[in-house]
Amino acid sequence: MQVMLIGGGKLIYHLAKNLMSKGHFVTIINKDQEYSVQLSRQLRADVICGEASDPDILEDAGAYQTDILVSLTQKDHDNLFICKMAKDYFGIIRTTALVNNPDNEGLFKNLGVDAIFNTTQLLSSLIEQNVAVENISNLITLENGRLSITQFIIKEGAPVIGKTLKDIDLPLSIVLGGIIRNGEIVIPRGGTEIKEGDKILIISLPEDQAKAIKVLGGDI
Amino acid sequence: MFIVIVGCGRTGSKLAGLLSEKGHDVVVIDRDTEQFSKLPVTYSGFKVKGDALEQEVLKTAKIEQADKVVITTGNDKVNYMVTQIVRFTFKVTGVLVRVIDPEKVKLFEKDPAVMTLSPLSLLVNEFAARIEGDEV
Repeated sequence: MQVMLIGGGKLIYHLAKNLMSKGHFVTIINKDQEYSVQLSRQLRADVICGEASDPDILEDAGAYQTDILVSLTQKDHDNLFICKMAKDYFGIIRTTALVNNPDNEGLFKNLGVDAIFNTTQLLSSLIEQNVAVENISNLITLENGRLSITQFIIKEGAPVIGKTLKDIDLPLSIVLGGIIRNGEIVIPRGGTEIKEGDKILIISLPEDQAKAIKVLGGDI
Repeated sequence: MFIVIVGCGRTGSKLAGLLSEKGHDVVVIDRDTEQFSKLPVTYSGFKVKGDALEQEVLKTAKIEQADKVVITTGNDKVNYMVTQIVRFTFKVTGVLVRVIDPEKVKLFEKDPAVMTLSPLSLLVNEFAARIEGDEV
């Protein structure tokens, strides 16, 4: 995939390295000339030095061929502007932004930025995830904790018992991977009813895991 | 009318003075209190110090009650984000915004409640009109 990263610092460097090792094509846009030179020496990615909110720079960086744009600057207004411009001017389908001020999260979502990383919230949910709660076990996390698979046991009296999955208001970013019921595997579908003692495998982004568990009756 | 002006630079301060003189209720917002010294002595409105990207600051200025919000900071990206906060969070229906780079006007004007003014375009159009006027 053709990925465009905007911003600087260690985050961009490691992210670019990681993405390239998986076979993606990476272009980086950075404002600082010195840092751009340094990045281009360290990485095999294309590095463009310039202001990413300038449509000409985006075009030079290959915005028309880009599948995903990731804006990771420290300024929310830059991230928002770049993502909107990427969508409206260049038709980039997926845009991802860092949100530094938690107040802005709703705004970014409303304006159609596809994925939002709220650093404050992300950190707290990662910490939360590592605090043991009895009927939740974290099985594995993939990609340095960016995707987690969790097992959750439905306890007696949980409000979701007897409901079908389609009636439960699960966040869209969560997939139920399977239900283990009395040692049998049940593949969850919309019509599957939840029973007491079910072990449910939840596949989710770490930041949404808590939401899923809450919906299923966990106390977090 | 109740008018909130974001950015008290040359444009913002002049506009605030003019509207205040005409009897409108005006609030100006700027991060830098020194900018308020640009306001004319006749200015009788309020001044709010703070970053207009923070919703708390906009609340202090009572922006949700504004009939018109004028956004005149010197940064298009800040102007864009303030515009969106004012529209989505505070649901103000009359927003006028200065857009420095005419190439970015399109992005602002997707929302019919937002009117943009680009000084550069105005200047170019005016020059062109004068030149063509001379030819006739």
